[in-house]
Amino acid sequence: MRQSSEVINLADRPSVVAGEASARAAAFTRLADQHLDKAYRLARAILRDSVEAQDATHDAFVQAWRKWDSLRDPARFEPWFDRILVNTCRNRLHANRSQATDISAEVALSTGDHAGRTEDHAVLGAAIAALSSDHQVVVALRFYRDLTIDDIATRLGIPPGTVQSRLHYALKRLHEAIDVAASKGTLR
Amino acid sequence: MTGREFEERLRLWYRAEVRDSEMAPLGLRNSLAAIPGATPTLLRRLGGRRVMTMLAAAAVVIALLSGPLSPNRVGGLLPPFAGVSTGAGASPNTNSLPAPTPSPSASPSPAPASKIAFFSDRDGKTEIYVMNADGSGQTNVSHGPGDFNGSPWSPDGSRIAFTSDRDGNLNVYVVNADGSGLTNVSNNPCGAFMLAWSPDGSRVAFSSGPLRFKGSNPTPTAGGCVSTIYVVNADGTGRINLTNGPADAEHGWSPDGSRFAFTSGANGKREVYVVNADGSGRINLSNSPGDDFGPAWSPDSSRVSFVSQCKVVGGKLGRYVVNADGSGLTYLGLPPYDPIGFFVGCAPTYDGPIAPEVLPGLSVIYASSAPDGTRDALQVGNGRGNLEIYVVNADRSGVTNLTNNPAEDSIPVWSPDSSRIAWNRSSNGSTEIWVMNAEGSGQARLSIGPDGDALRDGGWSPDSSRIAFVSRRDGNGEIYLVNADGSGLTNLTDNPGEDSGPVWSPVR
Repeated sequence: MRQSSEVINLADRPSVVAGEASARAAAFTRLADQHLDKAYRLARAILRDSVEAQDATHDAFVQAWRKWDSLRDPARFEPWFDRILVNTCRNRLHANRSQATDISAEVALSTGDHAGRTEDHAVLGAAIAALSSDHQVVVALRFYRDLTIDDIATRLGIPPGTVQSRLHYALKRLHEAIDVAASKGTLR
Repeated sequence: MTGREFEERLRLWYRAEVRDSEMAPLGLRNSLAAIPGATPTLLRRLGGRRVMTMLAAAAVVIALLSGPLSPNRVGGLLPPFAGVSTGAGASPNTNSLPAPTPSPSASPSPAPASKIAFFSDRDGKTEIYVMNADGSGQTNVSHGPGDFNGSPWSPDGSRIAFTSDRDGNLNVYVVNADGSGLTNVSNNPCGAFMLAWSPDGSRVAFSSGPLRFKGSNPTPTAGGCVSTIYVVNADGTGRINLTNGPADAEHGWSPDGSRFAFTSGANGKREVYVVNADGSGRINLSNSPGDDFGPAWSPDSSRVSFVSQCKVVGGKLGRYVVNADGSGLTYLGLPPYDPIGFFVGCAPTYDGPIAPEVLPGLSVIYASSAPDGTRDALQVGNGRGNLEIYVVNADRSGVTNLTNNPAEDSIPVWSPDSSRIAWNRSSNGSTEIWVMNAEGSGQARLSIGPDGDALRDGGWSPDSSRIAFVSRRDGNGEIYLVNADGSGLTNLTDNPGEDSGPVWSPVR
């Protein structure tokens, strides 16, 4: 049976003994493969764009490999990696926002000739997109991943109260946007 | 739309946006195998995913030329890794984790009737477990992925209801607390969420459909699903569509279990209704020109209060109370605060989540009512990063800052006897659990967790003597128990998996 180490060793670090390096690489690629789909979906939820999500997921795995020695317990790979991935997504959101967005304008742009459910979906999506990157991240972790406040705090490395605050202000802004859309008859 | 409904709507939005079945593109998967081979310099020089995909494609060719792929591979390069150890020498094989071995360091006061439900991924996926309050008898009761989605325990503490999408649709499952008798009781292709046990524990109510709030003819989903509310016996028999849609939401049993309150937007605006538990006797209680929502029963099941928006009869925004037969409508006044802003855009003078005269310049992030209804605890922010815990009487008098220090004080949780408040205090990167008397005296730290200890609703034991919380002090989430005086700290779960979300059974 062909072992992946023979592939990976093609460009392994010259200073590392080949056997150890292949075992490390094998462990990493195994865990990365196990978590890839879930990681990609989380990136999709945060970034709402498949190409952006692919790039963010890949970048996060590159960073994870660089930090591989800092993972003390491979059984804790997921929360350890989630923290890297979420931070990568957050940075991408931040970089892609040239200026503060007017949430009402975003919602107004999303309300076109679509009907029913499609329109509702677009309105809420536009409202989420208009949030700050920090707010988008906590909303996705809470309502896509269904993480608790303390789990989100762990993922982001911030206190639970800060998570609660960000969630509060994000929901308030979303509520405002939906309220505006409903008052204009574009949302039920 | 209430806060809980809005949150459920967000969940549904994400479920539509990102399907659970969506897989990472093959190019991305293939690129993973090339990552460990490239030096950081090379990675930086080569840049993003597309170049790495090319590297991976070259590796695939080499691998294919060298020998057959493992049948266990998923999507390309990756071989089986059974028996491969990491550089640190630890086994990543979660299937071979040792069985949970609770090792109490000190024994809290025994209460053998009390049990704790919690989540654990010790078997590789997040499932629901139940244990005794001393950590013994840890049992997987969901036998698959599950989520609480409402209070899980039946009123007598003998069963647990939860939601799971294990069969492709979100359905309600009921299981005995010992893990036996698992039954899909909703069996509904339109989904199920917002669970509520009937007061006698014989039935479960749940919402179903796309969660719509208004519209006489809202667009159904592809499967013809509309927002409606079902009631089913706890053994899965006798399911009835209690409200018949098409825009029904927000429901609650009367305390005596004979009736049911909910909102319906079938007339183009939301109204509060009651209906008998068999579906008969439907009455519109609010019947106003504006949207009405947020129904809540009086303890004797004789009256229902609800919130009405600005176009209500008489033009007053706020909470009303009415007899359950529709008579005697009475205005109660503005609620003192609203953590997620029900009224934004409806009443310009009511700017923000709290009435300005109560806490000028401050925002209520989170509010928790004392079980006896006399006071509320508030997590209040000043907009500059500091959070404090306040209490306020139900009549809005007696506003008091209980914490008043530079640390971040958050998430107040009342003891069931309403005498004490536990909360999180965060400073210098550490989060600890503290407890105090309801008027702020006797503040004491219960835990010191360098990686963060976390408290949530459901943490207090039913007799108010102990607190269950999650700590990551040993690197992964464990459920700890501590007496309310700070003694008897015990790690109840003590296994390599992630344990979280403890909820006590209602039995004393």
